[in-house]
Amino acid sequence: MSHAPDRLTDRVATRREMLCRSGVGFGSLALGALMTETGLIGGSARAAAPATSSPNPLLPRSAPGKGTAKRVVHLFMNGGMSHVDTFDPKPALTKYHGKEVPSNLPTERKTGAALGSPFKFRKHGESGLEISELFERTAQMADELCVIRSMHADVPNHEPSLMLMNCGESRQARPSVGSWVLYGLGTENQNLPGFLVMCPGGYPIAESQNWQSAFLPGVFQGTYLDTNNTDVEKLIAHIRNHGAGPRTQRAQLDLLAELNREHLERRKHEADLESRIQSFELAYRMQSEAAEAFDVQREPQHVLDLYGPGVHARQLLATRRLLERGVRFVQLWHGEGQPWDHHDDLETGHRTLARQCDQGIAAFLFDLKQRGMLDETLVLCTGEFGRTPTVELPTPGANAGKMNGRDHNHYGFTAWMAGGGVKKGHVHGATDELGFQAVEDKVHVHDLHATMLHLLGFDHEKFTFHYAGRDFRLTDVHGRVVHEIVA
Amino acid sequence: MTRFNAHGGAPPARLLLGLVVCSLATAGAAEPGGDARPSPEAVAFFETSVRPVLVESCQQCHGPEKQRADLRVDSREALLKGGSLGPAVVPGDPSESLLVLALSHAEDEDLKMPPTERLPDAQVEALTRWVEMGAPWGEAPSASDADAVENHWAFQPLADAPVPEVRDREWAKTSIDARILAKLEAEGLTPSPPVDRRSLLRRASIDLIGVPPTAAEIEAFERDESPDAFAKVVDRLLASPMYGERWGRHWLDVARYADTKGYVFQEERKYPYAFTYRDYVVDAFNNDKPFDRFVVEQIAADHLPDDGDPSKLAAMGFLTVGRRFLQDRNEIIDDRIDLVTRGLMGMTVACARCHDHKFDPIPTDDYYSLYGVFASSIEPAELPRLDNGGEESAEIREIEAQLAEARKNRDDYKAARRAEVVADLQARGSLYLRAAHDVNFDLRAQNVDERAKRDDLNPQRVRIAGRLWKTRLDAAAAENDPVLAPWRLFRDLPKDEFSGKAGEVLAKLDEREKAAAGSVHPLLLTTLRDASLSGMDDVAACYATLLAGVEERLDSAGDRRGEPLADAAWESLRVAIHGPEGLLTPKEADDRFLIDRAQREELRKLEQAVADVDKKAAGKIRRAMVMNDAPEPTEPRVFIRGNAGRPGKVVPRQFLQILSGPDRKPFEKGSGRLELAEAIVGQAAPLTARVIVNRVWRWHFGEGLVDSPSDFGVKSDPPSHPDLLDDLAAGFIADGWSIKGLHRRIMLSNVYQQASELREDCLEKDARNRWLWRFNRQRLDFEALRDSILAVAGSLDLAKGGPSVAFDGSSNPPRRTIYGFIDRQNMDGVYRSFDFAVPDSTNPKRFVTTVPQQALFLMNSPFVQSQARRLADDAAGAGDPVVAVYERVLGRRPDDRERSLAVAFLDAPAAEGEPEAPPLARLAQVLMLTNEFLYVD
Repeated sequence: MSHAPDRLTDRVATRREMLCRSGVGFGSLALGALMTETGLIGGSARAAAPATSSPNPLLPRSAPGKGTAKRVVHLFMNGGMSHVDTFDPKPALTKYHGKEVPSNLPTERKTGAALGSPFKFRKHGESGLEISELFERTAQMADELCVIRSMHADVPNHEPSLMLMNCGESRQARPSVGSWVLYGLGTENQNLPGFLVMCPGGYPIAESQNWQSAFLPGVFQGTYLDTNNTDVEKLIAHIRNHGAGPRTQRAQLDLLAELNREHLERRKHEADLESRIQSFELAYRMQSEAAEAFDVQREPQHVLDLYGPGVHARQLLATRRLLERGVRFVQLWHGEGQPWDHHDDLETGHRTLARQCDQGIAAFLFDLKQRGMLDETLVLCTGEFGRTPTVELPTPGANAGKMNGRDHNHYGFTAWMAGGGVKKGHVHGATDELGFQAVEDKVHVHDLHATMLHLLGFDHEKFTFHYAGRDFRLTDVHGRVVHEIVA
Repeated sequence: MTRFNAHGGAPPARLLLGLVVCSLATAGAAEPGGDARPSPEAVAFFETSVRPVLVESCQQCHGPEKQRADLRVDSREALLKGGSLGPAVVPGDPSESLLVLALSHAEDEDLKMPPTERLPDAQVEALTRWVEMGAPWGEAPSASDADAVENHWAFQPLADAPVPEVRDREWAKTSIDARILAKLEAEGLTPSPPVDRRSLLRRASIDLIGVPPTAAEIEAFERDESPDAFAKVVDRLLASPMYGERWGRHWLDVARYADTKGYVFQEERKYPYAFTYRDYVVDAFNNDKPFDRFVVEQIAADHLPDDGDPSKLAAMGFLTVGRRFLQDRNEIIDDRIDLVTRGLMGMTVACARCHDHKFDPIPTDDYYSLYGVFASSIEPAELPRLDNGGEESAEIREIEAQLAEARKNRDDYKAARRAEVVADLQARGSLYLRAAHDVNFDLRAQNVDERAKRDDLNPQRVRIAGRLWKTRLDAAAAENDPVLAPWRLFRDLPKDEFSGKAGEVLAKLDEREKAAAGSVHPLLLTTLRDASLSGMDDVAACYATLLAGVEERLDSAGDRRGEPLADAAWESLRVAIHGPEGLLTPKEADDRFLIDRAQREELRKLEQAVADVDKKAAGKIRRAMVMNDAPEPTEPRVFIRGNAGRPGKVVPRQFLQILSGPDRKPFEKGSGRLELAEAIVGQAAPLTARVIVNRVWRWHFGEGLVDSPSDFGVKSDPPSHPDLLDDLAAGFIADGWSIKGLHRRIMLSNVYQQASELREDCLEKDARNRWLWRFNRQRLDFEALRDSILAVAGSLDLAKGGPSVAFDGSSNPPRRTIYGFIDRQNMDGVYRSFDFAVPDSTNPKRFVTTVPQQALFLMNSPFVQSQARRLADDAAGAGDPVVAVYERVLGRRPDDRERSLAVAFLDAPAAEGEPEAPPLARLAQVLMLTNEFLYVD
């Protein structure tokens, strides 16, 4: 490395660390402008914020309340995983198998008689949580799980239910949960995106709307990665420089810093100019750090073996590495489109998909726990809804005349959580005898959101963003914190 | 407290609620009678726990629609006044309040509300507690509140405040200067000295045309000592065609422009002709089209007299290039209402979709008045050509032929499916209606198939018949329809009193018929009279019998079934049911319900074929994305709580109440779009002018006089300089709504020409620079950044208009950024990280953030690197390459220290084994990354 710039980089590194660790510093005044604009702080601070600021809104900050969770991982079983075949055992369903059910509720398509689950359920752990053979490895972590068996949503269709689950509103463009969390907490590592969305093979249904930032600043939107790729360049845009090697680039950045420094001195150290200078150093570090974070092959063999083979294992292991490095929110989708949507061939279909992710999920929970990270990481597993306990009847143009699948079901389904301050080995709520409808301690998707924000230290009724004449919330005018599942 | 605990076994949550409510009650009790303003806590309690219950469970019978027992529960006054049984609420005294009594469903009490079922405990408790608190009613504006709203600055005429006296008269050369300076002096601040000429030129160039000046332009300006040197610069820049590309793009933020529809599942998502709207906007700015005219064309160009120039039709893309929400009509209309009201008038009307606006004087009725305007407008299947008149090339004729064929295939398919349905409904309508009635007109009912099977009907058509009948039955017009009116009257009878009251209905029908012959269909009246009616089943049977009568007559007509029936009464019934506007005749808008899942897939393929030809054509043919009026305008109904399934009262299509003055009249011409547009630039001109003037100010200075450019409502911060805002707006109107005139006024002021230097003393007093003691230093936005890089590299392609081009990893044509393809759904990450306007809805302003992804793009993207290399190739031939690079990128020569740094950089030995761009290219890239290049002083 060349001479003079050495000192320069040292200085920059120190300042950067100060910035990252404390979350204050020269950026803080500038940050104030955005935060007042966005309602995070108000009143007297408003007057103090400078007018033309370009703050880094991703700097970490703490929640107003005492949160137990610092970060979130959302495992999304897109298409709608069947609850009665996985986490909500219904012996009565087997009993009624092939018979008319007392009250068949209208869903997207017509369904007929009861369809008993082809999968065996068994009690697990000290808690005795009942989980089916589909998730027998995840079940080994049963004593860490908090299973909500009384989820419900609004309609039995994919798009609105995806939007509701991810953004709290089924029709209009509203920010996703991850965007809200990033807006509220920033992220702890400026060298990596703060909100990552992984889906192997392509987009899920409704595509990037699922992680949109809507009226929040665009930097809070999720960064999508197709995890069928392993090349970091395909994962993060412009992360590699093909025009210059690291030393050449360093020389460029050193010259840039020098020129900018002089420019700045003539301009009385204006904060936004300062943060722009810093952003180049952050980007420089990001190049190496991102590549390293995504390179799961750096893990020892026993860890690789723990997670097992396949893309789900890989994206879960990468997630753990990213969480360790301070990423705030990761959403993992099962795959492109809506893989869990088994209107027919449910038995083989669900078996195949569960096999793809069960070992990885179990390993992920175990790994977080052994590293002492689980307590501060909220892991959530949901689909956009569940499936009917009744069999779907054949429809022209749909399920190929088969009668071995289930339709969408928003009346009742299961979500499970782990870590982040939720009860362990716990079951909350219940569906009816057959699993059609949540009946006991019902939890709406808005309630789930309110609870997630609560665990992160936010009051969902006060966590707002002012836009188009009113204060918007993730939960709109709904939502109730489910205190019963909070440890 | 005791009272609530008396319910016993209350879970912790309930207890908590009791406590909260209890403390609220105390707060409320401090203001008995509720004449004083209720506390915010009390209001919050009312809004979350009381109002929703009243709306959801009571207002259906005691609201704007119906007033059973003469009672309404939609205002505090109405509850205090009560109904035929006396006051419903006695504030502070639940035991005397009939409302509480009725809700309690007490065993020994006859009055039980709601009659069907007791409300959940929590709701009953909340309402009881609310009465105890003195019945505080939300934001019910007191008289003084109403005044405050009426007197809100944004709704006032433009004030003509005298130009204020200032101490530093020398500096105050324009009225803008005087008004700014007066505030500065009052705040104990002083303006900044004029900026140096080089910076001024760079500021003006990037501001007006989006690229920096060349070194030669800077030199010429520095040499020009004439007093109007800068005025000449402004004129030159305003005359550049690049001006429209810069300022048109600002407007496209407001217009939420994109080249795609957003997520529409399998439907083709590109708008092949969106670019014609973009080009229209660019031209409008370049031609300084008067802004009022610009507004009218964007909303109602189709209504303007044909002056032989079809280009203005493209203006209507303003309405039509929005998100399509999976073709959900209500959401599409909501987006357009939001765009027009927030984008043009700073009014957040979309807030009034479900309830009256919480703060601003916008009743829900106003929302649906505008809803009616857009619901009465349609987008024609075939968009008009913009480029007619010239000789058509063989290629275009071929495309048009392909398009016509693809359309014909699609339309034929739809027509054939439709004909099948129509024929079946004509032949067996009696059975279909009866079946639809049996499943309660519920399209999702589980027993539709079963019911259909009984009469060997097609289940899909049972749903169609049900849908048609129900929609028309629920429409406002049904009240006076000779066929539907009786059904409605019978339907309103309570089930248990049906037999008793059926006679009254029949008598009422007789009376009607007597008063106006033909107001009830004679055959229907006779049939109903002769039947014994004990419920809706009997009524439906009467209708079915009549339909069967029509069918029989048609049947026996045999070959002559196309001709009118001989009997006039039967013929009129046939027309009412099966005529072109008949009750069981699907309208075009119903087409998508006429087909089943498999047919839908077939139709989708045919529609895709049309879209494919359109996409192919878009480069060669230009079409305007117009709206036209529907043949019959829609009479809008308020949707209760915004729920389209719960239509409420009818409202006229008309302009916003607060902006209309006392003699508001319903729109009369077709949809009313033209009248709406004229009102926006007419009655609402002061507000509309303030909003655009503030936007223009903001695009110049980076901050507006009003902080919230799209919200001028009661809750927005007032303008920093109200007198200046009004002065600018009035001058703007007087100047024929000329945007270019406004630019001149602003840019020739001393305020605009101040230095941007940060001054510690001023910073302390006014850190946000609200009082404009300096010019705000601004970061180049994404378009200015990308265009500037292309410009200094010498590769900027100045071609105008045409279909959008994709800028992505694989190709990055050097067109101006405004011509880039904007994918609303999956917007490119680079756009996002540079804070580009997200086209989900109209954009008030862009965020300004600094994140490392921006730096990554500048450091590593092949785009920036290739531009730097291109620049270096040019500069390498110059006598002094370092000087050449500096002049090209920064428009100046390097100083000695910069030169020696550059030379050292160029001379440093290459790093071994690393890819190596030419040193001069690396130097050029460094200069493109400097703050000097990325910011405007």
